Amino acid sequence: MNELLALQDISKSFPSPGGGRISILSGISLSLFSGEIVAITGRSGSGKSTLLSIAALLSTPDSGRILYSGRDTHGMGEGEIAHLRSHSMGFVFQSSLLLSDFSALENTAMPMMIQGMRRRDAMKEAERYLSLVGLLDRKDHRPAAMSGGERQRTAIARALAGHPFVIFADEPTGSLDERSAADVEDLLFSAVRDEGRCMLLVTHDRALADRADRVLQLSEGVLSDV
Amino acid sequence: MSDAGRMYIARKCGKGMGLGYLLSSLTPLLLLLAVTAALSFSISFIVSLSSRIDRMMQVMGSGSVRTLQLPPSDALPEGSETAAVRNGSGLIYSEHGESAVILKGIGGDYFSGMRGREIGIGGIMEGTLNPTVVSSSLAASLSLSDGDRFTLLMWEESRGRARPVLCTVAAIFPSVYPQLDSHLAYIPLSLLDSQLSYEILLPEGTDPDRVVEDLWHSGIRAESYRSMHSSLYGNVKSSIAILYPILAAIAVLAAFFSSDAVQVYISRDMEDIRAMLILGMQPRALRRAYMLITLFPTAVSAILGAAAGAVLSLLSPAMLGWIGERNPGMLDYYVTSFLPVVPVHLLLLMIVLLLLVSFISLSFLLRRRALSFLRSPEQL
Repeated sequence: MNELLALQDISKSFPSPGGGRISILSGISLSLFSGEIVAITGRSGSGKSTLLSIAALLSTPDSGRILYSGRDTHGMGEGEIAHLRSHSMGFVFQSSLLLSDFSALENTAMPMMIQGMRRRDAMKEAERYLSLVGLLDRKDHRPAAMSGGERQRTAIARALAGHPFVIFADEPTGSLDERSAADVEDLLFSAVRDEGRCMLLVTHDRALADRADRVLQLSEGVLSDV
Repeated sequence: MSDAGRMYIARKCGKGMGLGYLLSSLTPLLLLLAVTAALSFSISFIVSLSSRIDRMMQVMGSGSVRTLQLPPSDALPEGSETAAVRNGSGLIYSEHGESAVILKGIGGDYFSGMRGREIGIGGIMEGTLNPTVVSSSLAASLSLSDGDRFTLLMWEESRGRARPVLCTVAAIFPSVYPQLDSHLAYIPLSLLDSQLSYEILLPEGTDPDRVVEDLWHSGIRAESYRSMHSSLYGNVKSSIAILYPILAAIAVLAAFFSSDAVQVYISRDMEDIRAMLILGMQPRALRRAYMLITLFPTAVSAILGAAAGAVLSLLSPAMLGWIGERNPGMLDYYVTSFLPVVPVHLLLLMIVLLLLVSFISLSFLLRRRALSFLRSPEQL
């Protein structure tokens, strides 16, 4: 199996209100391989989301290295990081993070257009992904006119549309009812496994985490197998 | 720019959004719109007024060009009108008042061409004793009406004495520029004995200095109204020249408004900016997008303001007329009757200057550390 993402000896701390620093992550190392889903669980405030944002290059660690398909990201400029993000990563967050002024179709097409695809082609391809998540009939609706489940399914369509090899999911079903959550989970897991991607899933939902290939617990800044 | 950037900019500029969104986008620039409207009005008003004063100096002064010899008609531009005149001064005594006046002795056809049209003289009463033409402001100050008689005390240069003459008001023209016409009376040429001179009124848009130069080359001594009324002409020129520093000041003000607006738009779109950065939009492209997203409503505000000001300036003669009716003395230094001109080239210069300065200011601002969160989503 290919190693798609590797975190090596990642540490991160934040300034403490009382002075000094609070260590959130202490020398964490983690590898994700194609087709693999890794779930990270832990108490609120344990640093799960911080770890995910470091892995997704949304924030920088104090020390350690992050490698995408073996390529070290240290020292990359903002342009290179943006390029890597658009071509290699997909995101599904609890808040869905859809563009508020754009329809479901436009939201789904956006990553492909950012990659350089022409608008007409991207829209056609986006329709295919919306159809995959069962939202073709809602393609012209904006996020405000959609339910929480529909927004998450749109976010999944958007995350898959850019053909990323790593998907980052942070509490992807956190705001959904049981039925919608099950639908979203099924969609996400099958999309990752069927196309040889990998997924780093952050959740405090034990049942969701148990569907992953590996479950790791983050506690006191250290990852351990569950 | 990618299709993603183009679509993002178009949407944030209001494409596919409602009128409410467009109006809210313009809200941070309302002040700019108001300032641009005021400036556009001022420019149109001052240019129209100045151009009318400039023309009145020629019509009611001593023509566009004055000579002491009758110039041959082929030495003058087509459409020019030459009239023989004598100038003098006198005192008018009417039943209700008296006034010192500048006298212009004219021939019978003096008002038959451009002069009559520009001053707005309908007709002169025929067969009256020493027919005299005065402005409405002079007539009002002496309580004179058409057909009224008054005594004119003139100075006869040849005899070195004052001479009273009974005259008749043969026509009253609407006062156009009290500064020039409230102490001016047109009387028959034969009443004055001063040196004869020739007033040449050139068609609008003709350069009098060039005509003067040509006449001098033909051996005819000539002087343009610009040198005859140099201080008044200088004032008119200064009124227009002062517009340029004001334009520059407004452009700087526009930069301030657009800098403020970009911060409003970024705050409004914070979530979408974060999403676009997470999706991999190049931060540089996003900064460029916000430059255009801000310049678009800035341009709309400037154009709307310029248009509003221009429309308002078209109403200015009516406004001045209304003020003049209520308080005539207030408008002594204004031309109260003029055709408003919208100086399109100056308004375009204003808009271009405003956008250029906004562009430069936004370029610096979007690069500044204060907006560094546009570089990376982690800081959002």
